[in-house]
Amino acid sequence: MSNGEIASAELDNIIDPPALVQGKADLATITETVSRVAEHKPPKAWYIGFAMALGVLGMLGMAVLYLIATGVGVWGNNQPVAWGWPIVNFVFWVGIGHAGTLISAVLYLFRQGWRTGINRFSEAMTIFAVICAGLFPAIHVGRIWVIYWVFPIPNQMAMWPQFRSPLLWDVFAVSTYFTVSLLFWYMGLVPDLATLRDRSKTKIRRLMYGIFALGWTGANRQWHRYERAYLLLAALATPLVLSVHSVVSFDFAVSQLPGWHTTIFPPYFVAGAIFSGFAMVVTLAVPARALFGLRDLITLRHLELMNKVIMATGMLVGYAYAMEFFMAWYSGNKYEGFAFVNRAFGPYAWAYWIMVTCNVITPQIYWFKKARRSIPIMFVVSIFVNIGMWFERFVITVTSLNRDFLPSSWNYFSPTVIDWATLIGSFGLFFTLFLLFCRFLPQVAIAEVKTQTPHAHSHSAH
Amino acid sequence: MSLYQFPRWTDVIRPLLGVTALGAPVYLVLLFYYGASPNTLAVGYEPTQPVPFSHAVHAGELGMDCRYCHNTVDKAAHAAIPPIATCLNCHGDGEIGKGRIHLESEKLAPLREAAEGGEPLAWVRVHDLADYAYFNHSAHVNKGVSCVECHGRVDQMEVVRQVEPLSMGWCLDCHRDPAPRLRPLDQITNLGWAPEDGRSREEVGRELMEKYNVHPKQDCSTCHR
Amino acid sequence: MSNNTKQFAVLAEYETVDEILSAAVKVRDAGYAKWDCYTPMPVHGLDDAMGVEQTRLPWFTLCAGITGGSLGVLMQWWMNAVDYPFITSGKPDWSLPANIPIVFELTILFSALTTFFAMWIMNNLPRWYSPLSRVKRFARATDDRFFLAIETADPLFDASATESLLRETGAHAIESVEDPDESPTPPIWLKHSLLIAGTGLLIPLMIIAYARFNTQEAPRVHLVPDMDFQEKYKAQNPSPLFEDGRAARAQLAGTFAFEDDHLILEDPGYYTGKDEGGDYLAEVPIEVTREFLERGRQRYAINCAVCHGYDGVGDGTVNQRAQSLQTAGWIPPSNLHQAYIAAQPKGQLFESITMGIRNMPGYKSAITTEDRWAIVAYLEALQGTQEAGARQLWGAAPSVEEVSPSDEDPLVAKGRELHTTKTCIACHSLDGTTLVSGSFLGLAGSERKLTDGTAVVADEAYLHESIMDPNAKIVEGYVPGLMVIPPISDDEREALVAFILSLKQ
Repeated sequence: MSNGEIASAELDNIIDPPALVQGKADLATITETVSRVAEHKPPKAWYIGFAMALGVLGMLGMAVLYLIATGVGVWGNNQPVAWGWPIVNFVFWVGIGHAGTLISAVLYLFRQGWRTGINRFSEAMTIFAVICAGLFPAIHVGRIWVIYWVFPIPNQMAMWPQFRSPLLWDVFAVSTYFTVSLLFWYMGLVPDLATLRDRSKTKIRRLMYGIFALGWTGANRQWHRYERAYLLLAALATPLVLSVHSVVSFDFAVSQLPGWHTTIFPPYFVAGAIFSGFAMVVTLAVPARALFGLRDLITLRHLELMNKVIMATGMLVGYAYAMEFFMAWYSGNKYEGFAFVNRAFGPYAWAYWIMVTCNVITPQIYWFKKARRSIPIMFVVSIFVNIGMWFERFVITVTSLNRDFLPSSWNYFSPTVIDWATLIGSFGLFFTLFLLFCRFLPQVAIAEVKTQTPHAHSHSAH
Repeated sequence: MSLYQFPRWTDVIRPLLGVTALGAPVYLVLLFYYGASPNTLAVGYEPTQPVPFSHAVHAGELGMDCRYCHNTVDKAAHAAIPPIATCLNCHGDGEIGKGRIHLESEKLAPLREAAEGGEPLAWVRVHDLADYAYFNHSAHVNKGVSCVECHGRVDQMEVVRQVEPLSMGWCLDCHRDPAPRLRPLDQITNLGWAPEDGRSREEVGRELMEKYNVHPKQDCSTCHR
Repeated sequence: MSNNTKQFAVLAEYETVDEILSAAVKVRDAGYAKWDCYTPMPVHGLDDAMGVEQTRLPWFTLCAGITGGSLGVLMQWWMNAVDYPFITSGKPDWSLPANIPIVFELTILFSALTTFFAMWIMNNLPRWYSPLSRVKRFARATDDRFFLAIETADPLFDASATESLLRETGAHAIESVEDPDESPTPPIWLKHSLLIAGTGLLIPLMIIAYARFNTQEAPRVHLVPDMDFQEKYKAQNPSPLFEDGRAARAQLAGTFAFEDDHLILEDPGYYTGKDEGGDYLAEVPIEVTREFLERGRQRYAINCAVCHGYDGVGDGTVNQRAQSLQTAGWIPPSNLHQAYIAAQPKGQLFESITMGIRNMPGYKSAITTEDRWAIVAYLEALQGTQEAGARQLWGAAPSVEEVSPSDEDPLVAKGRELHTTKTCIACHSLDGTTLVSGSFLGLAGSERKLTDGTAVVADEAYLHESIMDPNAKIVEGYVPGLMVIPPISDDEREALVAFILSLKQ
């Protein structure tokens, strides 16, 4: 080991305890800890959770079928709030879907070793969240079978998409993000699938894991290209993850509606996305590590670091809320001013103050180390943040629309039963996929965690 | 313990994977390009009509002008299917219509039945645009677009069939480049017309565009109104 | 699996990173080429120890990124500025800033897909079978052990020398990896299922080919049927709402179209061809211009020429067709150059076109009022062109007045006038020519052979009967129903009969 590496290891010790992997941290134990989950029957809680998730997913299926059979009139969207529930949910889920790639790619580039414990987990969460997000734009067109119009596919209408529309940028941004996240996630999975293949005792498991492990043997010449490809994908995914929510914010910011037409939107949305994404990772990691015996791999230190990120991004978001009001006043534009007064004190004041309470005030508790390391507190706070971030999208979308330029058309938006069933149902889809992932795939990146142990490093100078 | 091993022949079929990976998109593209094309789905529609009316005899052999029967084509959006009275001009029996051609023909029995007060003849529509597409016949035939451009050589058809896709892209082809589809107004129902002086249709069409002030629109609300 | 195997490689097992690193250095220094280390995770420093060269993968990524970005620009430019220009809020067809986000996304997408797939291809994966997987201990390569394998294909490979080299590196175990010595033949079920799948894939293509090269009775397939058929009535659609089953409603009796009101109120003759006194209008009640005549010619060609012929002599294609079919009861269309037609007032011609005459049906519903007048106006021009020819054909009677003797019995003179005005002349000539029917010259007093075999003399009673009931006695060579009962009074019939009797020879 070079002197530089020793120095950095020592520095790490000084700044923070090194316990990224706790307990008996030899290679076989790591393999065993993670693989055991996929190889044995899950705890009862898993079955209960899965049954509930499947039930809620069924409700989503019925809501969507009813919507498609009937038309988007079954939703509460109507003038002046023509953009309502679906885009709120879309932006919410896309935001959730930011943590995974951020942890995998950005933290990888910054050489943050602590990412290895949670990256697999949050990447999976990202992919499932983006699937939930993609559902809403797809079904909101009503006639879902013509959704192919948004892609540049030669067609008998001789028509092409309008590339100057931010809605189309969104299509490209979200589908690219999904594709790249999926590739990144699957690539990371391959060596671990090979581990599961080599450990499996039955033919069917060996066959299934084997097919998806692509015949990985861990040859170093393959590791070499693999590592390089991983770095390249991380480098590509980093600007991508920052761009996705910027582009989503363009849906609003490029329009000319007071409350939407703001240059602060892209950074504000990205900060909000990281904020909500990390909160969702904490919400999921806390029960999962307890349930599946992963406490040694997803340690309290991991959770504390995430809580720090949550507090920092929460304050960024708070700053953006304040800055919006400042700009509304400072611009002297009375329409802009009205939009924000309406937001905070209008018919949706309740939503606005829920948002501020959950997103700005609650995370302040993380100034205290005890709170950052307290499992019950972080679980509650992360759920508050999830709620707050959903309301942020609701506030932005609905309060900017419900009182438009023509007072006679002012109206109060109320979601219908189908709206609720779709929102709740999307959680069913998310948790169904997530629980299946927990059951059958390695929840922690085995090979990557191994690189963080002393066993992966040479101890003799050569 | 004999664990399952991937057999050696999986090495041999690896090229198949490549073929599938490259071939599947090509196959799917071909399938949808040709399968979903109106040339497959719509062109060639040739329904049996209640009376075996032959356009080849009437419009072709007898040289009757299209507008003798479809007399609203140049003043209305809809090119009318003629009333039975028009048929009876030649195929009547002296009492309900005056001509007596093929008075005894079995094939004309439904016509006489309808004329005597039965149900109207249910002609089967061959060229049917989607209801959200607005099309005006008079706007076209009065600007030099002949029947043949959309309906083909009806004067040679024993049974009328659809020969053009009638798709939006096909409409736009002409709206973007109308010149080669124009002809002088006095030749509008002459389905076999070709420029006599050896000039190309493109050339003649350019002149006619000027003369008839032809500037087809391409915006959505032209047809979807 | 057969027992015939040959050696594939020698496998050495190590327990720590340090062991595999030093072993790798030794094997590298010995000059081996076809060998590799197998580790459960990427091991830092092993690339150097093995002497693995930097991969060229990043260059593929770069090229793909440039390709993706360029394609993004080209695609958007061609689609939105060239092939289907979108006109949005007066913005230019092509302005790069609005297209940057998609260029960016495509750059990333192409780079990522290329990186991903190129990495697997360069790694020669997927490759599910590996001889190494036949060695049981090798399963720990993905768990906690480190392996080094030197393949027999290496030029330096020597069973004993290679093994002793590996022993020197401090391997915990050394094992020979065997590979079955047989050709890897895919099983027969695989071949069969591929064959079936391949054939199955052809079926849709064959259906498509069939549909493209054949006509169908079935209406077009609506892949996306929504709103192709809407709940609305279009022209000539059926409707269950009304008794006659039609969506289009007929004009109510006693009403007239809005745009015609000024004409019908100010000039009823415009519609009837008659003035207030009931006399035919002498002239067309519309200013006859060149355009109006052209219109008349066009409408004549469309509606009239099929029977009357383009030149008006009455030999249109429909007439030719009826004659060739030997249609019983076919009354040939009139020659429009006949003097009596040329002499008719315009209002009468208009009335004939509107209401029909004899066997000609009325064209009131088929031709607009104005167009009917246009045809009347054109008719004069047409007759003018053919006057010389008309005189030759109908030589004796260029004008009704000319042949009428001045000293005629008033009754006979009235009959002569009626013969023209009631249009008997269309079928019955006065000069012995057979038109549609027999000439009146010499008819009276002649013997008529009837279809029932008997014969009668054409006396006064016979003539009266034939006018009142044309089908009572049918002369040989004619069919019943050929002649219509002329709309004349008894007095007028007396005059006509007197006139016919006067032509007795």
